[in-house]
Amino acid sequence: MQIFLKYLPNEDGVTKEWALVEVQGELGSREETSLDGQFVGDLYYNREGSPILIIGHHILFGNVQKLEKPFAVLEKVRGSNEAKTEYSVKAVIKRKLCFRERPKPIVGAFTNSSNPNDTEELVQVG
Amino acid sequence: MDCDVENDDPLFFTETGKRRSRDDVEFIKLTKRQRTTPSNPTSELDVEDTIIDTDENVDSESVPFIVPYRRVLRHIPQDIPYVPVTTESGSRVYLRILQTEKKTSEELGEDEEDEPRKLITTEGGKNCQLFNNWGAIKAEARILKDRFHRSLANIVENEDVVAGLGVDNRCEESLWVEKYKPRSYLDLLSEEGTNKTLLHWLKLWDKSVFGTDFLAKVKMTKDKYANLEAKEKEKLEKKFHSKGANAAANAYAGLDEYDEMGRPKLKVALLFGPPGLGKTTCAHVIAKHAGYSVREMNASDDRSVDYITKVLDDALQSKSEIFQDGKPNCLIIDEIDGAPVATVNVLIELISGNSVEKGKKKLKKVLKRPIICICNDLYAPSLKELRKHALVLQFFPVTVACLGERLHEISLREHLHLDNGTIQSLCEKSECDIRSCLSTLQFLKKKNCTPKDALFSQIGMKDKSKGLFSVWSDIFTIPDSKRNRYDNVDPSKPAVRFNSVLRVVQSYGEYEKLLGGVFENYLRSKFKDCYFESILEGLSWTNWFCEMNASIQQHQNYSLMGYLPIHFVACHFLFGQRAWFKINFPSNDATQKIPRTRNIISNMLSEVVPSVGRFLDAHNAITDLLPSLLSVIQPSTIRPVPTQIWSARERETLRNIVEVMIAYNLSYSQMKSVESGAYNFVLEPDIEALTKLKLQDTQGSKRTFAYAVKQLVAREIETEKMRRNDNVLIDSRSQSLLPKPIEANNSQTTVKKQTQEFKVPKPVAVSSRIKAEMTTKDFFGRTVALSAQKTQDLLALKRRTSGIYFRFKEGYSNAVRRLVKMKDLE
Repeated sequence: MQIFLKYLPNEDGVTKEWALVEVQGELGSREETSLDGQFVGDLYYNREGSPILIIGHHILFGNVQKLEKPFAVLEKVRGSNEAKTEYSVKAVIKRKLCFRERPKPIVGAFTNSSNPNDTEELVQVG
Repeated sequence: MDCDVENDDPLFFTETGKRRSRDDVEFIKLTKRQRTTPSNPTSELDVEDTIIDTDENVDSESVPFIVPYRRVLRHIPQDIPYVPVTTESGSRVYLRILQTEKKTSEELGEDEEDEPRKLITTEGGKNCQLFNNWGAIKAEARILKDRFHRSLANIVENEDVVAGLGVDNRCEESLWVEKYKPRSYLDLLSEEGTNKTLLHWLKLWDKSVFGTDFLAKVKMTKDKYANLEAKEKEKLEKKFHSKGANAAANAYAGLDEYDEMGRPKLKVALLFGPPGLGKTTCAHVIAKHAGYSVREMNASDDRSVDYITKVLDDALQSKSEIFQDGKPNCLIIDEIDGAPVATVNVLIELISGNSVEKGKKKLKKVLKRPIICICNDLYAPSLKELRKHALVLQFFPVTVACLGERLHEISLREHLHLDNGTIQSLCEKSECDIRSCLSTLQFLKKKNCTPKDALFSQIGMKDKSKGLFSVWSDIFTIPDSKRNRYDNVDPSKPAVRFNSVLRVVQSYGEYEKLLGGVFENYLRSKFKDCYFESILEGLSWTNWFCEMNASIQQHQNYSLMGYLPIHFVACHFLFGQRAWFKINFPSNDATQKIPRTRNIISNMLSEVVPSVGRFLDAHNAITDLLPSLLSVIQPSTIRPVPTQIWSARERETLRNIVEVMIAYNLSYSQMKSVESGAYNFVLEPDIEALTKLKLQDTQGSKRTFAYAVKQLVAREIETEKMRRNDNVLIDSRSQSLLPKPIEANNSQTTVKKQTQEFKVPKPVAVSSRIKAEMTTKDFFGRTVALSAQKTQDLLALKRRTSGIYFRFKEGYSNAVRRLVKMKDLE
């Protein structure tokens, strides 16, 4: 069976590129709720371009890896009557952010010393 | 062997105080090297038993065989019957056989006493026609000898008359030491056992040098005499045990071995002993006796590595030099203890066969000739390695009787009238130094002094500096009051002691070194005064010495140097005792300790809390503070038990300790001890080392803290310091912040601050306040008004942060191992 994908470029004509986040460990919720739609953490890049992920009071340092095969993020649009169920490409994933080091705890005062203007919030996983 | 007696009798010197057994004579004969010439195959047969005796006055170096019709030839004569003969010096001559032989020798003997008489004996049947009338010759020889002695006495008398007339032109005569040098083995004065051992060792080289096996020869001779000995033993068995033979056998025990190349196991002989005992002479004579030509190297030669390598190569290796004057070389290295270590190492390498010749072939250098080394100090550091490879022979001082007899003979010949007592005291005075005795005698002769003058003056005193330890022991011991027979001086008299100690110290010269030993050993002396006055006085003398020395060094006023040895004389009178005690080499603890102590003190003082350090200087610290401080910071009230069961008092003590230690900048640091490898906490700076003295240490009076307690204290100090640092930091920050809000015109915060300013701020409160403040300040300390949106963002961020957490899983990505069985797979 052939599945046709619908490729819809963005408004600016560029395909959105997402990134995969791979962590060594697991995420949990204190409220025993599902992680769906929850805010996980802040992702920053330092000047060298390596990503820094802050989850709760943990700070993770990682690196960017290029995936051997790119992924596509598909969205399934269920067709109502007569209309076909179709898949559209929402984004392409070519890189993954790999956090394999043990996270460092953030202790002490609330950290907001890093100016939000310097770093760019790239992606929110959830 | 009838000729033995004759052979032994006429010597350069008469036998001096030594009785030679037949064994010895046989040994000497055996070891005598007769060089065999390949072109003369017959000579080998009779060479063994052919001995030529030279007369008393014959110099072996220049045997004057100058006879008109050349009876004595240096080369093998052609077409003439001859007898090969070896002279005392080992050189070989050939006697032409003539019918008039007997007559001429007689004539010679009668005409000129200086000409050698020749006594030729042989056992071989070949040349027997010479000795048909052997008995007659023997009788004649006796007559000649008697006559010679008589004429000698006459000459002495005659020359005395001449000397009395003042006709004495001996200015250019050689030194007596040279003149009366032993010329043959039998003339040697040194101990028989030493001589024999050296000679035996040298003969062992025969196998590789001459190709004759000495040991086999010895064995042969022994067998020869086995029968005789057996008979003798039967006689002696009941009375004596043949000690001498046993001793000799023992001495050679390690010697009778060859290595794989037929050389003796020990390649080098090392002779040592005090100067003037004839070591060099002995080595020369024995080397000549064994048929070697001597090459000598001594202190006056260059002793660089290059040079010695060259000499060793030349003398001992290269073929062209080996047979230079017809005889193989034997190298004698004199005064080797003065040679640099590198030079000695070259020698050792050669001996041990490790040295490799440079060049293409990479041949191993092999030592082919014997080397005899001579030194005064066997334990010189440079000889440490050499000792292992060498046959070490000690030269002992000659006995007074032996030397006396020789001196007597010489004095007779030189027309000095010395009685036995004088000679004996001369020997004793010079400690049996042959060279010194001879020189003294010559000096006496030259100056026309009476012998008595010499004995009471400094003449003939050895100019030999004593070793460090013997100087110290001279300082610390009072000699026995044994009266010297000859100079009638009681050595225990203060005046004599004063002079002797002064002289000994002056001749040693290195006063500071001496001072170290005296300073570290004077307390061992047994004092006889209960008020320690002599200690006080001695220390003040030492103080005087140090001041004097410092002043000499500072002003370079060396004229004061002469007064320094007086200090040791003073020490001798204060600390001297009759009983001997062991003197330890100074460890120089004191001189090393001073800079270390100063360092520690200055370290400590520089870091002491100012309020304490204000009233503290180094002197006060070390005399008053530190000894008691140690017991303050290590009180015995703290038990080495877990802190949970400490009493309140102990906690209080710990707090006190920590306070004090911080105040004096003390702490414990972990150190690994060198010996046991165990860790221990040591005070830093190490004031324990400053306050603990050696004597306390031995008593073990003070119990120190257990490891755990020290650890606890160290940790407490660290945390306390951190706490204080924090406080200081916070204080300084809050102080710097104080005026600023006023400038910023923020009335609310100012009021808040001002109300808090007068309270003593609690650390926690301050820090939280700071934190709150910090958020609103920018780099220049101005308050930054937060925009409403940002505040909201922050709040949102805060809110959102809660909830999700991350749990790291260590080793999660590792391959999971699972037990899989074969049957499951199928």
